[in-house]
Amino acid sequence: MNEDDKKAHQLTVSNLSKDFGDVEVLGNVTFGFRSGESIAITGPSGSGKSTLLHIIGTLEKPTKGHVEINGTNPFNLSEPEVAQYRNSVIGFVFQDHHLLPQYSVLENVLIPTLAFKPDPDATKQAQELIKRVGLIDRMSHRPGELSGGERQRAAIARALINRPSILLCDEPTGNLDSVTSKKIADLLFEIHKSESNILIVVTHNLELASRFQYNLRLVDGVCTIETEYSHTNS
Amino acid sequence: MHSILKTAKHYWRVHLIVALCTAVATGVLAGALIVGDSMRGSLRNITLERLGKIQHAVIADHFFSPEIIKQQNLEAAILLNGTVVAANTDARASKVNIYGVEEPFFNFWDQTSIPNLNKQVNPPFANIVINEALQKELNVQVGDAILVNFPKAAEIHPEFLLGTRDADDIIQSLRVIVSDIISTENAGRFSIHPNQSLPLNAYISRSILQKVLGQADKVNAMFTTETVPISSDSLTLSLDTLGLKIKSGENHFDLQSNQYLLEPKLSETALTVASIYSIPTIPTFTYLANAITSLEYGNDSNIVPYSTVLALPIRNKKIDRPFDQYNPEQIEENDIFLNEWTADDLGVKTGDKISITYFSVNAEEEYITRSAAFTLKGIVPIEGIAADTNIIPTFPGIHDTAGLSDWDPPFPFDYSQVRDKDEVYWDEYKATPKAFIPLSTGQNLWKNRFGELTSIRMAAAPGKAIDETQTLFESEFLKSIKPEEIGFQFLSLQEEGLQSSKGSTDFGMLFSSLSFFIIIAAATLVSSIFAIGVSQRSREIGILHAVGYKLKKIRRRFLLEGITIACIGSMFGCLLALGYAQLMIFGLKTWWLPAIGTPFIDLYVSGWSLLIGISVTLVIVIYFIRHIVKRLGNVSAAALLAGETDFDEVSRKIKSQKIKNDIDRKGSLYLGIIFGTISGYFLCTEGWGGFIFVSFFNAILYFIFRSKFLSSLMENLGPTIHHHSNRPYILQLNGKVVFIGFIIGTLAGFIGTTLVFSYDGSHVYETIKAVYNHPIVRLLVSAIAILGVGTFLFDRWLGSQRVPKRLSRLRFGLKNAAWQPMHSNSSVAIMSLACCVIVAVGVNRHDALPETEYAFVAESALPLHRNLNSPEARIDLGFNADDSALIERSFIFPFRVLPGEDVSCLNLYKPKEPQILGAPSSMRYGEPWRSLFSENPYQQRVPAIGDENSLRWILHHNPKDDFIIQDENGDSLFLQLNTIKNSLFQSQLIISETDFIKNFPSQSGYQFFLIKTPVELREQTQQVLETTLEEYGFDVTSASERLANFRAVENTYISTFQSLGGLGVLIGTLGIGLVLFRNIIERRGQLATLRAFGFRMQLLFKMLLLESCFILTVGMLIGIAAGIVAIISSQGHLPSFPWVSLTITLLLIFVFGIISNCIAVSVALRSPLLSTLKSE
Repeated sequence: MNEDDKKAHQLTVSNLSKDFGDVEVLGNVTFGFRSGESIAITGPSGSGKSTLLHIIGTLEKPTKGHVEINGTNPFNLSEPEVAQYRNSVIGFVFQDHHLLPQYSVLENVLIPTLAFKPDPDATKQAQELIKRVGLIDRMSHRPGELSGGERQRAAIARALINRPSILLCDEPTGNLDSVTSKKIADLLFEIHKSESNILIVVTHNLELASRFQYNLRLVDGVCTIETEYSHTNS
Repeated sequence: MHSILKTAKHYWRVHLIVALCTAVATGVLAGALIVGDSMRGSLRNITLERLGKIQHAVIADHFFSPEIIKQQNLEAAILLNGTVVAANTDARASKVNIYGVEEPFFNFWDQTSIPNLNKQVNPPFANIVINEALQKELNVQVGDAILVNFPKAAEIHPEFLLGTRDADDIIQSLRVIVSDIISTENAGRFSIHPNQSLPLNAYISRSILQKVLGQADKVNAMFTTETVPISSDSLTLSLDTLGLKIKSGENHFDLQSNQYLLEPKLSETALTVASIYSIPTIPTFTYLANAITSLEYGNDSNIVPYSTVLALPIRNKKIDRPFDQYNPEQIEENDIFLNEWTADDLGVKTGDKISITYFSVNAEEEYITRSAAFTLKGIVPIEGIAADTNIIPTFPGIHDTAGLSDWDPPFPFDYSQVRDKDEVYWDEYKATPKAFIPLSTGQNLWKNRFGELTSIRMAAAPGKAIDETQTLFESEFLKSIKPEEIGFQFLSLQEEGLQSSKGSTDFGMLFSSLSFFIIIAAATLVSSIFAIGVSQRSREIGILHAVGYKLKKIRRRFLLEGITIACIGSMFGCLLALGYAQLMIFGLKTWWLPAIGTPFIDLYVSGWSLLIGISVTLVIVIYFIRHIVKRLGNVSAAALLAGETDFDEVSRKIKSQKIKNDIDRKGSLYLGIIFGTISGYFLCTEGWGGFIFVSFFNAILYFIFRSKFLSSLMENLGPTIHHHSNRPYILQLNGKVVFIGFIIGTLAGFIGTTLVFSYDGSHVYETIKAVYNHPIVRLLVSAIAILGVGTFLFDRWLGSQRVPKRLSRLRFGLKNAAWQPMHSNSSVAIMSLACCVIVAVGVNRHDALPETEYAFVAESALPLHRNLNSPEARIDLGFNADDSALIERSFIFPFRVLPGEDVSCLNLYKPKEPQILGAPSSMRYGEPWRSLFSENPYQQRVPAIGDENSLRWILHHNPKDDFIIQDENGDSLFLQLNTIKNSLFQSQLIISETDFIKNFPSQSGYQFFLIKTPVELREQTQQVLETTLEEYGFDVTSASERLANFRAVENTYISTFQSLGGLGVLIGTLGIGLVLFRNIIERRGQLATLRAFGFRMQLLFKMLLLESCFILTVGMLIGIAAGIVAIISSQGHLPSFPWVSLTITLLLIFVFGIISNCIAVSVALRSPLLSTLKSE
């Protein structure tokens, strides 16, 4: 990655609240992060971790508050603009990988490039990414023919194809055994280091959470940044 | 039940659609059956209306005295066919039923007021009452004059030498005044022949017709309202009824016929009766010689013109004076006796050669002059039998004339030949024979189909006086004659009419078949909707399961719920059925009118049809519901509680690999063994040729079984055993195991056949070959093969894992179809099957006017006795020189006609007695006519030609079997059928003219004509023929139009099928929309993922629509290709393609498919997608 690519990214969340009817899931959450920082969001079930992740990912709108990514508030944009914004700025990795079973690994990785005008070099980039995640031999295979870890690698490759500013992962190792979980976590950190994006991961796994720079803990919708680890991911 | 209703209320949307679809299926099926009820009911109604209270009838081909039938409550009538011309406008109507009746005849109908038959409107002209149908044809009013033409009651057959054939002699014209016009209901609809078309009826006072016809007090039909049939026993025959008379002599009596010749059946019976009672007989044959000539040198110029020659059995028995001096054994075949007057006139002596010249009439009704040479055996005095004019039957136009020059014979007569001495002989001896020859010789020369005797002279039986003998003979002779043998028909009109009103075509079944797609589509929709409903309630099922409900109970609950909804839908369907039937009836009266000819059909509803409609629909719908409910067991409670909705997917997960392998292996082995056994049998019986042929066939079947097509259909239409590979087990064939089974089977088949069967089974091979060569089989095999290959390739494409060089949105959208390959395959299979059927049926539509070998088909109401190809005959028939020259440019093939019922698809009644045509020998050199003229004297059966469709579908007769009709004597006549297709002759059966006149000798003249005319002269020729032969009711129709009329029925059925089939497919596309909807619901996670990666809703919509349209297009293209290939394979070529109608139908299906897909995608995308991404 050259220097131009490593431009700074900034995520600012201020006074963010989210209600579902009478139930307040998030209340006045405020934080800010920059490129190269990694954040683990932890907390008990129902504490609003995924909701926060989805709001940052523009999948859900907040009830109150402000989200700014690289100086832009996506919720002020129109639906097509939000879509384009999400496509270029955000990368998602889900617990259940959500790979499309009818497509091969390569095709799955290429999917985000199809949302807007396809890049002619996309296939080449996708192949490089797949090589990076260690699936080059499985490129033509369908998700049904891959192991859980391989699927998640494919999902990571897909999330990175548009080189997003923010990589959002929702329980990326939740369905994996400990060995595979560690490998996936290593991969995530390796890519985060090279891409220098903002990595935000929702997890229940405290061991995994301990590897992040920041631990953003949510309890009853209230956010506290409990720990800032001093060590860098290695 | 309460909980079911509560649930039904909660899920009312789904249940409403299920109920509606069930109602549609019930409505369509019951409605189609009601169309059948309505057709039968309407035909029955016409029958009842046309016959009124008439139950039975006696109809004869000749006139008889009504008094011969000893039965009460009979009404006599004269039935004639003729033509009618309006005097003022020259408007003409042919094929008019002319009824000679009296006022009581109209009492057969309750609501008919008695029309004015007798109170003269414009004396001295007689009255005529006509029905509205005829009035519309003629455009006449009460008081207008019309000219009625009908056949004269000729005693002598027009085709016999002494018969008359000129129009004036055979057609009776009567000028009458219209005194009343009756509606075309009740008596106005009367006809003894069933037909849905309105008859053209005219009623004239019976007594007037009797007078005009010269048949005082005689009729040719009797009707009764009694339910007891008129028995032939109740008919008292008399000699007069039989057209016979006895001339009594001093010690003999002569049996003679009013028709000059004694009918063969009657003369044969008379001789048999005489023989039984030892009555001595002298059968004779009197003929008219044009000339008796001496062949001796010197007096060969001597000619005696126009003389009577008597053939009598002088070689067989001793005849009284003057032949008693000759020993019969010494009389040779070609010996002749002349009376003294003739011998003197010719100047001949015993031993001289004598020639007799006479006319005969050939098959074309032309007079042919023939001669026969004799040796003068003796010269006899004019005494005894040689002087007895009683033995000579009456020569019409000759007998009673004052002199030879007053003769007015029907044949060409050269008055210049008549000498004074001939007049002197006539004055003294009248028709006394001048020459005598042996009977056998006379019969050889002159016998014809009308008879071979003119008189039978009988003497007193031993021990009886001549009077007693005559009485005995008369009585026994009349007892020996059956009325049916002499042209009497005893008809149970009401019963037979009601029987035939059941129709030749079951419109109920026809419309049920035509509505097949709608019913299946509606049932499939029920299945899809119910499946969606069950999917929506997966959590409910999981909870029930989790709290301890047994699976059986849950299934029963859902099944009961489904049955309740289906029953409610079916009840509502009854109302729809009435509406659908009304719509179909409206269609038959308007858009599809050619299928029934006239818009006579009304709505008749049978409870049975509703019951059958409800029952069959419920069985189908409940079967589908049960299939859905059964799948509930494949899902674990945990999966259900987790919201799992794809039962197939879950079921695939839980099926064990072991079961799958077992099923596959066993199925493959069994199939291989079956294939092998069949091939082994053919290897044994037919050798390698048969083996290769059958193995090839087996290979095709194997690939069809392996193809996705059948599995897709099975998936959608029937229960399947799933396993994780998502294929029905029967198609998961293992090629290796099939091959092993095939080897085992081949060996077993070969050895088994060798050991067990020792006969030559080559006929089996031939049968299979014939079956394969059958167009329908080829059509089916080709269609299935293309559909199979098409769906197989589609499935391959769905499963392909080729890495693309570049992923485009198009490929991405299309490849989405691979998400649920079974769903996509099902949709493609159903759509392709439907389009294949629509194309294959639609291609058979013939929109273009067909080309025919002949320019015209003509029919005449009255028989024509002259050869229209002969210039002389044309002049006689009234053609002027120019017109005759015009007709000369055409060639006319005349056919004889035995009246009967129309057996084409234009007749909706069930015909029993087809019209028979006698094809002229001039057609013998062309195909298919050649087969009619094969001469085989040992052949008992009569070769005949019939249209295959008419035989199969209207007469319901297998063309391979002989068709049995009755000849004129009431004996069975076996017609050996050759079939033709799509011909002009769909209304009749055809035999050769030779066979026709042999079996129906009393039928005379020609009434059906095929005409070849140069294109540029057609219009003019048609006009000239119709105008000049107006008196005969000569109707000329374009042969192409006639054929087009037949095809119109077929085309109408095809149109109906296209309309209803298209409607079914449209409903089917709704089903595909529902499948798509279900897919989208099940793929919400995927779609949410795409949204997460920046896909806009609009783009998702486009992609989903592209996917569904792709499936729709692939299905349609495969179906269209299969339909076209199937037709080419079946017919050997692609017939003229109905581009417009077929393209419109297919476009409608495509557009409707897209619309329904748009709706499905729009509705499905409304549900929130992103929530499915949350892991918590």
